[in-house]
Amino acid sequence: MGVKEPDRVLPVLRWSTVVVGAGGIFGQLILLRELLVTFYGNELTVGVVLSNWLAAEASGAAWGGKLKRRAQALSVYSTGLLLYAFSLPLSIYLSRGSRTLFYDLLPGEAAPAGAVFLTTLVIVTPAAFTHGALYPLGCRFLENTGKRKKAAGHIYLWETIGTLCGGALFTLVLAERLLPISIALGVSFLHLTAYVVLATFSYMHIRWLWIKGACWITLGLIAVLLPSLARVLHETTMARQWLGHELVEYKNSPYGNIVVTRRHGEYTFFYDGRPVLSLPIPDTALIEDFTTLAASAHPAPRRVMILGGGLGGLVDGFLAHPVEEVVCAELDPRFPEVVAHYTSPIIERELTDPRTRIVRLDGRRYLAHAEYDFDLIVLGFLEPDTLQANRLFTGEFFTLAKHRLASDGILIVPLPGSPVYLGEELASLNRSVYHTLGNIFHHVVGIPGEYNLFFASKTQLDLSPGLFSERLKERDLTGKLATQAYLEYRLNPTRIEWMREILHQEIEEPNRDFYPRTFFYALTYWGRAFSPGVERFLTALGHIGLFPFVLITLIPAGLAFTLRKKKNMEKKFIPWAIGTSGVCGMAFDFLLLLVLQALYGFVYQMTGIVIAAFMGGAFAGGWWAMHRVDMSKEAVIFTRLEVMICTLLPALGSMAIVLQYFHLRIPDLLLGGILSTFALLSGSTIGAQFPLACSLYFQKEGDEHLKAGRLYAADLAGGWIGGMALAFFVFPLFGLWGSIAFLLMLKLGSLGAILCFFRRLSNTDGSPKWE
Amino acid sequence: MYRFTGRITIISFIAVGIFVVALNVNLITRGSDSSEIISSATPHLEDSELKMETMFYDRLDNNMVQCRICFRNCILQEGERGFCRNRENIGGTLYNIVYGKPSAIMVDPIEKEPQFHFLPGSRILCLGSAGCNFRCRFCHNWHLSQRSIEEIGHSGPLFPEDVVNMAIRQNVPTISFTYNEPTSWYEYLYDIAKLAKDEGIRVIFHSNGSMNPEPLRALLPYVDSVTIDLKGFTDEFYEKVSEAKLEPVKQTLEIIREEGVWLEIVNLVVPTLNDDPDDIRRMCEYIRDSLGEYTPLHFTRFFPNYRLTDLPPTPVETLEKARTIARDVGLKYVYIGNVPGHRYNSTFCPHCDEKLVDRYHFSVHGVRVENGRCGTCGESISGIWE
Ligand code: SF4
Repeated sequence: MGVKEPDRVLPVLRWSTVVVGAGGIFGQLILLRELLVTFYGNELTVGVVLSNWLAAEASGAAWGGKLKRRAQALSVYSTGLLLYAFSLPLSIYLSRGSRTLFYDLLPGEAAPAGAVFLTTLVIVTPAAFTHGALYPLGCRFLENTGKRKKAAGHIYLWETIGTLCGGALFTLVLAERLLPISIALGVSFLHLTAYVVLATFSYMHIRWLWIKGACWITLGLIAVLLPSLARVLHETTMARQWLGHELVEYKNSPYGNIVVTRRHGEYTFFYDGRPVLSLPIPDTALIEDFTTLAASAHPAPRRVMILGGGLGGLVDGFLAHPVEEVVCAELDPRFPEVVAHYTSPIIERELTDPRTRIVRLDGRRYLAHAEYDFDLIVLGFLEPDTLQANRLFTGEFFTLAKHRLASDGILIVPLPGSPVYLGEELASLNRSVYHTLGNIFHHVVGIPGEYNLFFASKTQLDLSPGLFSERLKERDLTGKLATQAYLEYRLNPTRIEWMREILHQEIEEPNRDFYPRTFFYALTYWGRAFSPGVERFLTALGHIGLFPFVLITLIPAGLAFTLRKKKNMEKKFIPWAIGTSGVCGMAFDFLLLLVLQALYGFVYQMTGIVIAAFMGGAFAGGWWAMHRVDMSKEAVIFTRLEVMICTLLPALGSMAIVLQYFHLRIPDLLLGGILSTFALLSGSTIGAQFPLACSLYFQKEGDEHLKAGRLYAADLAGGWIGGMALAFFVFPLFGLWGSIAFLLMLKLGSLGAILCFFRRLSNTDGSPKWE
Repeated sequence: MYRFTGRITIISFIAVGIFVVALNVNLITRGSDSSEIISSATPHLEDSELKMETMFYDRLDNNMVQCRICFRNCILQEGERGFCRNRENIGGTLYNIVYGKPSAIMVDPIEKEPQFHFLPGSRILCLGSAGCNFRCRFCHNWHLSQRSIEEIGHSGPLFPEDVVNMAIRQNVPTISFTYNEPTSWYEYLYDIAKLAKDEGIRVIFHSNGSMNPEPLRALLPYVDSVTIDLKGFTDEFYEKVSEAKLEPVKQTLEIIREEGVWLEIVNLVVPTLNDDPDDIRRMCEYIRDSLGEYTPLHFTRFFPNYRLTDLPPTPVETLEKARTIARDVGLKYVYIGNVPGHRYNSTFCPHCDEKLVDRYHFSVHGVRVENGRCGTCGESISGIWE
């Protein structure tokens, strides 16, 4: 038992708990962004980061819980604050230095896919573990002030307030304006301040006035030096992350992270860690080939729309043809602003030509509202291995494009390919887009090349070299690349037939917003280069299909039914129910973000709102269950909550469909509102279950901690497994509806098990529930 | 307790049974997805048992063998495959298991090789298969080179006479072994080259330059031209980036020059990895001193590929600096590749600086070499022009 702390420390504790709450959400969001860049913008990283944060945080809580029994609460708690102040910048440092710290990689060599999991765990652990430990330490501290009974609830309340405020502040104000390291140092400073304030009260380990004075002076100095410290830290950590590059610009937008580097007069633009454009000389071979073939495919293209990767060559290439307008919408509407800073002849031509129109709007949204139809709609050199890019390869997008094409208009889609050999995974990737296009357009032709080009039109396509040559001659554009020999090589009928045969060897399911097959194949293609084992594993799981997994989820219900008469069996299934709720909790968070990304492409911005709303909901639900539920009805309420989770899962799917239908018309604010309401609702349902489960599970007072620990472990394991399984295979393989079906069966299995024991669980005659 | 565990066991057994049945039903109803992807215009014959005994190897004790085709000199136990994935010790005999099994057959412009002093503007019949004895992190053809023949499938059996006839039928003057490392299916290359020579078809190959001297000298009499990748000029680069060695490549270059076969060298300049001006200078001096100042050297631009996806493309300024170094050292034909429209895509007369071959990427707009001489000043221009 520790020494009783003075009452005047209470307001400071409240304030520091709010800081801890805000610090936690800031830490998660900053590291999420950092790791998205480290792992090339793949949104599945979100699931891995959230799960690993959860695991490390819970381990910290468990450790803190044990520690609190013997240690001085105030000093340990304030030391925890001090540790968090250092661990968040440390995690950022680890993330940015991971290339050299964890792998023996060459400069520019991408990390293997399998390493994502372990690296993420190592990176988030310092911050998440310390943050987790602060909760039980705070509780213990409050207990020491004499508020033993309500300590946990109070700390939870203040921490949740911090989380909510932090999430909103980060998303709406800080994320775009400040460097991540500045935000992290701000958080560290607040924790340091809380530490110093609390240390001032701690007569146990800081007795002398001069020490206290020194602490305050140091804090003041840190406050003054904070901006320069942030700059130095930003520069040194970025130097580690961008080893061998001279960094000239760093910018975060709601859509992603943009970095510009310079080497020997060449600027390279990285988006979410990947090079996407080089200036002043881009990949001319690819660009000229593409624009020449695309523009010559149409007899007289007047209006051209380019989506993604238009600036820095493609726009210029189309302007060479007698077009009236080239409209360019980037995946990230902020990208053109950055590119415009780096003048080069190409960019100058593109931006000063009166026929160019740069749209600072999401391309999909723009296309839906465009005032006129286009002769050519063209995708840039995008790789659909992020959901953000995959949005432009789905049936939904192709349908939209078809409506916005003039009667003889052509949609042209480049995809990673090869002029000589298409391996199995590359063939699947190409087939997936080809067949998706084939479902929507009557005429689709693929031309093999470094990037395979797919031409889709409502009318017959004539891709004969002679015709292309004629058109180029009419436009006086034969001088450079497109000689007759070149066109005959590129549009060789034997090559086109070779590719057609490969594309028809198998039929792939169409790529949809919420069933992103192309995204999956792009991941396996990527995995093939970096982690053949992971690729083989995913492909094998794909062959197995969803059905066996669904069957496995139903096994517990079958077991419960068989054993329903067995004594004491009911208590075995409560942790299962809580574990599956943990899975669903993580799934609600993660799937909401994936829906958002599949439709809008700005998961980067909305994550804070969704996570904060979910956590707020979880708190509110927990509070309601503890204070408002008649304990004689806890089994009924618990079962109802199970039913509610089962209902919310298809509701999430339905909401996704409604959003998909209206997403091009809904303003961002309303969208944020809808998503956070759903996150709040799902969070409160999940949050309310835990206290009820504890109450149902407690046999007697004596082993309360042990039982709660077991349930907590089940909840945590569920959340962790849920996040990992969804990120690594359930979502990529089975899409949104497949994931929901899987989760629904899982939850129905647990509901079935609870129903088998319902009568025994709802035994309210005052006799002990467990014998 | 006994009855309880008994029930659990039975239920688990049934559950596993259902799972296995479901899995199989699912697999059966989906059909077999294991068919190989074939990437050539030729028909595909599955399960071809075609293999050819390796031409250069030693039999060791205990049914072990030592391959002598490339610098690795792999020692293989029975059943083992070489580093290149293409040679297997079967019962104490070393076989080339990709013989007659091309996985890619295409007709390309010769500029793609690159071969700038060899019949400019002509077409080549290109063949590639699985496997390579290097592990370059930037490999452009990794889909082929970094896999086994079983993984990628093939279009065989396609015998040497089929290949030569294909070239004759399609009126293609040259057969080229490219896409993957020709060394790793040496016997196929050797047999085709020999046959092609008799039929008046020329043979070229694009290699990493790691063939052992003996097989190389045996092959060169049937070959008209070779493109060698000189990937860098330090052992460290070869080791770290390609898991290989520089010395065997230098030896290969010297033997090709000695044997009088036309040689062009490609140096892919990868930012931060092999773009040190001092190394480039040493490389150029070596080429001048050991291979001759008229050896064409292509500095090509790197673009993110395979495992090096996060590295920026080579700045054109770096390539231009490299070219300046090479010219200063005294090399006469120095090109800049992968930058369409660059002045040094084209060939210039080393004497009068007239443009001799006007190129734009793979397109040739004009050739002013007459009887192997500059059309303007009459200077002899090295290469094979007719
Ligand atoms: S050719 Fe293949 S088997 Fe022979 S030594 Fe080289 S890598 Fe080894």
